[in-house]
Amino acid sequence: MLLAVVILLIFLHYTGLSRPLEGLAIRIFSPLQIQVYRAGAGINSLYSVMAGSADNRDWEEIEKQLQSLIVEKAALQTQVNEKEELLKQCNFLKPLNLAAVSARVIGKNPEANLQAIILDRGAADGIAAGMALISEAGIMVGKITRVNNHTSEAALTTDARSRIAALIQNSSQSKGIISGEHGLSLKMELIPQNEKVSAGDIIVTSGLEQNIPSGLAIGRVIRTEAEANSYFQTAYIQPLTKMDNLTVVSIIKSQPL
Amino acid sequence: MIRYVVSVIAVVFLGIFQVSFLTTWPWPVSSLNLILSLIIFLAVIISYPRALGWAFGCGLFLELYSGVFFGLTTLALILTVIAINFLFNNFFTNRSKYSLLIIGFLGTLIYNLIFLLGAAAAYYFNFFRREGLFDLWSIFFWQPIFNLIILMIIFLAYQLTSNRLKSIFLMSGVTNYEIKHRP
Repeated sequence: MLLAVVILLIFLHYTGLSRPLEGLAIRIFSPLQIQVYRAGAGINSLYSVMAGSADNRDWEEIEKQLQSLIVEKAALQTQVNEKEELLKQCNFLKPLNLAAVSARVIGKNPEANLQAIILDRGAADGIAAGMALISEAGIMVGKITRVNNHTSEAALTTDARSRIAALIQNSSQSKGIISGEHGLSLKMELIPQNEKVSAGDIIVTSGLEQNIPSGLAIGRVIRTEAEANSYFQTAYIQPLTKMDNLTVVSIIKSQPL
Repeated sequence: MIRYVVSVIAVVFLGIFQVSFLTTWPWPVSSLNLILSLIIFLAVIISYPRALGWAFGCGLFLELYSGVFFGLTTLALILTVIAINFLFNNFFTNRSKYSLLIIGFLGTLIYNLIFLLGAAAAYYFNFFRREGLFDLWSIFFWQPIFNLIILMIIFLAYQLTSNRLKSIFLMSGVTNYEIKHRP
């Protein structure tokens, strides 16, 4: 009997008949979820501070400043590269002009293996799959994977499903795809061995994806690994921001003009 | 009627707690599935029909935020309750904490197996495309560990607050008068 009801609900969902009811339920629960999520993130932050050293506050302040400097440097570096490229092609550089919409995190995907957040913005706000998510500091933290009418799901960059076209800001501007590793870190594979990649190099989006502008800072190389008898090396990347306590993000809706 | 309303509110709060609170914790603690643990506890210790009802309600709530095809979470929860009820009736003799822990472990594995098979079948038949791989380490190692810890906590809390799990000794041929006036 119960199974028959579930099958009926599946039918109603895929025919779209139950969608308004689902949307209504999400809208009713969202305000409470925002508060609960903030409380959880707050407790998690408190725990992180308590678990760290006594100088944590100073350290966090320095880390924030460093983050903003890295973002600034990454943006400038990208602009410089673009200018050089455009000068070569005798084109004009147009200033970055991104339209973004802010969204609040109302929860995370309950599946244990996913690093995906649920946002309180959906198709009704012009959100579409593939759009980039940036943190308040301007660091790319994920990509929209699924859109409902009033909510959407975004895979964080550390999610095992996440694939982002990126480039390393080194002398050869190594391009590749970065993927999430166990929900904790990132890696970029298939970098030719003759391209020099060093710890500390900044990774930014390459702009090769349709909805993601170039130059958004993602992470910093912490080490590289090159296997013997292989033409390629792998760069292991640390995200520039902590993904655990995101409460507000911005969704970039358009490419730079 | 009031009991049903209270159950629905409890299901919603539990769902919100799972989706918006537990998931903010760092990995691997975030792999804890409180809803599954509670449903296993209900099925083994409290009552099978109530566990089925909660599996249905919690499943429906989780569907709103699930990354797999609609209905899979609810089906997996209901089938897990049916499976652990079968195991309990045929292979276990009492409602002890050891039975609960073993069934809790098996229940977590059964749930995740149904979930994985369902997602794989949906992908195979081109019914629902789910990008990326499942993190089997989280599903089959960390989640059972944390689920068992939380099951133990729920069991002990229930034992402390309810008479249902207290030991009862039956003494034949002894009257209440004799028990009261025993030297």
